[in-house]
Amino acid sequence: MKTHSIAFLASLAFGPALALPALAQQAGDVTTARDLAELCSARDAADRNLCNGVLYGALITTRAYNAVETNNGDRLIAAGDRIICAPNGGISLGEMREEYLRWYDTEPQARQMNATNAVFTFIADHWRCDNARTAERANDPFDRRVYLNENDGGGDPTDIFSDIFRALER
Amino acid sequence: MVRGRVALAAVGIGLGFCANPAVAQNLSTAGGLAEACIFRDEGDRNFCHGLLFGVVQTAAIYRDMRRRGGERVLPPQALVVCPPSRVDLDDLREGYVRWARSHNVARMTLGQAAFNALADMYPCRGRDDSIFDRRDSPFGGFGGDSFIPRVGDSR
Repeated sequence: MKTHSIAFLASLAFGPALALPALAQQAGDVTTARDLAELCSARDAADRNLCNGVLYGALITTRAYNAVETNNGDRLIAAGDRIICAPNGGISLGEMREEYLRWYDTEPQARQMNATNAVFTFIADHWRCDNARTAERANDPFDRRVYLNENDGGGDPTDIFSDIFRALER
Repeated sequence: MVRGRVALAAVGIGLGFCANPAVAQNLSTAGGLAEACIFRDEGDRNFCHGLLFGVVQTAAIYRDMRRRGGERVLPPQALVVCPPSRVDLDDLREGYVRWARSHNVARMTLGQAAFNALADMYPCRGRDDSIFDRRDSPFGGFGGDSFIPRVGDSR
């Protein structure tokens, strides 16, 4: 099992850039959807486990926000505004990883996305909410593809994870 | 503006995770994740890093999410996790471990703990904690674990 150097690099305005361990024999950091796809399909289980964690962490966060409710019983994110609705049934991390790879192969814009946006868009595509609003206006409450692309690399001060290089070799 | 108490309902996620045999821990629990975060095995540590970072990055997306007209989807007082401009992976991991050790996480799922820990580590400016009653009723009303990844094929 090899060791990794993990670097977080800034790359977009909208959200955090994600840099993941360099793959075997590759010097570059993983910052793009493609990089993440390579990580998810890596032969090394430790590499795939990082992919597992990223996808799962993103998914549980969407569920957490969906679950926030006020004391009068209203959901903070109204049902019609939800973007991601993960099912109640079980899912395996391996399947989720494979689904990301399938999404990456079939989503025309995936190759232009960074890893952060790709993860969110993949989850939103894969577990799209079946509600009236999303049915009416496909990607509401915002058109994530347009939005994410327009805000990619715009130098917004919300840029996070910039200039962080942290060796994790142990 | 969001009024009243808000209960962060259960994330309700358990993770039956076939971890490294050397550890054989159950990563469906908050404690199991903490163990993975400090374990020397790279696979476990990678999962810890990935998960925490996945939470942080997605929280940042929710933080910044706007409708087409520019209106924020979530008002500032309703935001839960607001990571700073720079987050160090080791700090993230160590922060979670400290949080898990100082809280009663025995009954929390991994998702509940990770989300709460990061909400404490990176509170949002202007967040109204009185409406995020994560302590008194941390995950009430959500019906328990309803999203359970299957065991055995995670790696």
